Amino acid sequence: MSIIRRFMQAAKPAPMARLRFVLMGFCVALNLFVASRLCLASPPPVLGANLDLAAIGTEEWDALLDRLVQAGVSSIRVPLNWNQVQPQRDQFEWALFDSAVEAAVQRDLSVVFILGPCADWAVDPTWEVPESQKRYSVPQSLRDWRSYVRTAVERYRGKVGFWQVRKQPNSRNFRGARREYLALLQVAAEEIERAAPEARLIVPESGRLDLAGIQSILGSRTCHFVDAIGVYVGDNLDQLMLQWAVLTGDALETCDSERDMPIWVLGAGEKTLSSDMWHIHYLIAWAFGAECVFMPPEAIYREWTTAYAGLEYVGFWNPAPTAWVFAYHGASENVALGWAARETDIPEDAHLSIPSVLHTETASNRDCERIVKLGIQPTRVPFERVRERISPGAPNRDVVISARGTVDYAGLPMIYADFSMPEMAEFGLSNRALRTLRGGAVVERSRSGRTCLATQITYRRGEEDKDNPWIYFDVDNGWLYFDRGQSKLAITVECEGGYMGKRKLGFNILYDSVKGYRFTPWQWVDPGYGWHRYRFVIDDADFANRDGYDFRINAKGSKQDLHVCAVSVERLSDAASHRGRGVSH
Amino acid sequence: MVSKGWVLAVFVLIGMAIALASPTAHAAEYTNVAGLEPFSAESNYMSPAGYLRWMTFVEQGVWLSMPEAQRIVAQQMASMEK
Repeated sequence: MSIIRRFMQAAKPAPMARLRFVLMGFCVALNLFVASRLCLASPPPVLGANLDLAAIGTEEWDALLDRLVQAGVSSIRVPLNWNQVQPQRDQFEWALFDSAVEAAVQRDLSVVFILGPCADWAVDPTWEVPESQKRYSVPQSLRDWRSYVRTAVERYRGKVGFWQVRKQPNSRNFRGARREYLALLQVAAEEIERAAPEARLIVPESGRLDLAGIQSILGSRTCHFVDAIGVYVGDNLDQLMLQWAVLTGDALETCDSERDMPIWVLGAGEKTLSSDMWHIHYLIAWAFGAECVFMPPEAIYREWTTAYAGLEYVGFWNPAPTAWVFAYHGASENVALGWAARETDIPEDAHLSIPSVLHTETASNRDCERIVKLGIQPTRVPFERVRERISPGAPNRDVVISARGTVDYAGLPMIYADFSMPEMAEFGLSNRALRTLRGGAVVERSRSGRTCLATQITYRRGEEDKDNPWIYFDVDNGWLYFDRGQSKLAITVECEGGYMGKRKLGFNILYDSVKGYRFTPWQWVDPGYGWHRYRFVIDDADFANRDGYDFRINAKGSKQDLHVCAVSVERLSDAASHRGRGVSH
Repeated sequence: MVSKGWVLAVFVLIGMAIALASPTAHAAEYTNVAGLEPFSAESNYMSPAGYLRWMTFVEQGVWLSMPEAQRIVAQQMASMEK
């Protein structure tokens, strides 16, 4: 009998009792509503461990798996190394992987196999790929790849339910084109569908939570094969919160509106993170509804992993810039955990009476007792004191951007960098923090009374690693972030004229677009002393800090160094963009 | 007197409110050099493949072989034609 019908029957007897029941019913309904607004409280993600059989001795295998199971791990993710499985075209060796799968199955662990990297023998020798790099390449023949995938899927049918195609396609060391990866993906999907239709296909992004990359996968025909998107997280927690908010709020529109696209955290790519950092990543992924989180075994300790059994995430509070408190409901207790992207003192006069919520009661440190420090380590805070502050669900893009506590550039028509203005050289457009990026070690130099950024181009063979022809820029995320070409922009570059004559000094701009990084047309700089302005109108920008920047001025191709004194980016109305289309001077 | 219908109506209204108010749930790659004019300033007076090799080295510290770079540029061109 349904709860509602029971309630209706119970409501019949006496008028007073009926009224009481009605009021109770209203309260129940109200609670249901609040519970649902507390959003769809979500259980913790599946905790998984990334294991590399090649790095773990078989004698350690059982002990490691036992420890992980005790710590709450229920899935393992293992590279099914093509070179190990198939050292020659006509030779397969499965023993190592058979025993691993057997050991996992005995412990009720689900297994995710990563297909790849490329077998050395499968790479076309005429491509002249160095031996040490062949694994990052692509097979000469898709038939070889198909044979490897088919044999593996058939062998582990019923035992391995999840398959990931390559570890990090198109990451720094992937020596192939996007089309080549998609071809590998399609073949793998066909073979899995044929041999083990119940298995799920995990498609990884390229690294550092590349939103544009994820969307290009979901916007292509490939989308139909994808059962879950795998993401890699980094160590920039500020940036990561925004990426998660945008990923789950804007970027996950799939080709099939009938199904949700689960998100799996696969690891940290090339980064090595501390256990505390992984703990925070787990909490963030949970808040944003990720299905699974895989991390290295050394980050997994039962002290923290088993503390979340039976809890459901319900909401968040942002008590100070870059600081977050996440709240959880449990059957026996409610829990709140705080952390910050960097060590943050929450001051006494912060809004919402934080000290009364979070103050520490240490007798030895009375002066500090009303100041709370949050940092890169989840810290338990009293739930009852923060209950009133909790907003349901996960923070959205606007909440995360306003939580940064920086200047709000959002409504401004223009942002700029002008190094002649020392008090406000970077106004929503920054370069200084990006000078450590490769090829971007530009210098500030005085020219004709103004401070400029100067490229350092080298023309000698063998000194390419000293070449710095690029001036990188990052647009403030509050001003523009991942809007998929919806804003028309004008980038204006003010630079010094060339002294070597006509067609000796020039530049173009490499910018992140809806179709990946692309160049504007080349612009020659007029000769002669003095300052010149050049304006580039672009209508397909998709700035999302991919590779750590949004656009860069490229002077390679010039016979002299470029001196840039000011750069601005303005948002154009439709009329203004028509007036200024192309490059103007 | 409170009717059964009234209670049901409350539930229906709450259900509608939940439905209306609930929030809707909701690959880096090599820079495309296929559109650059070969052997001009914008490709540093190199072929597209040569320019891709140079740019990849400066960005990543790794040299692609020439045949690899040519293969990748060919793939980029094929994508543009599509």
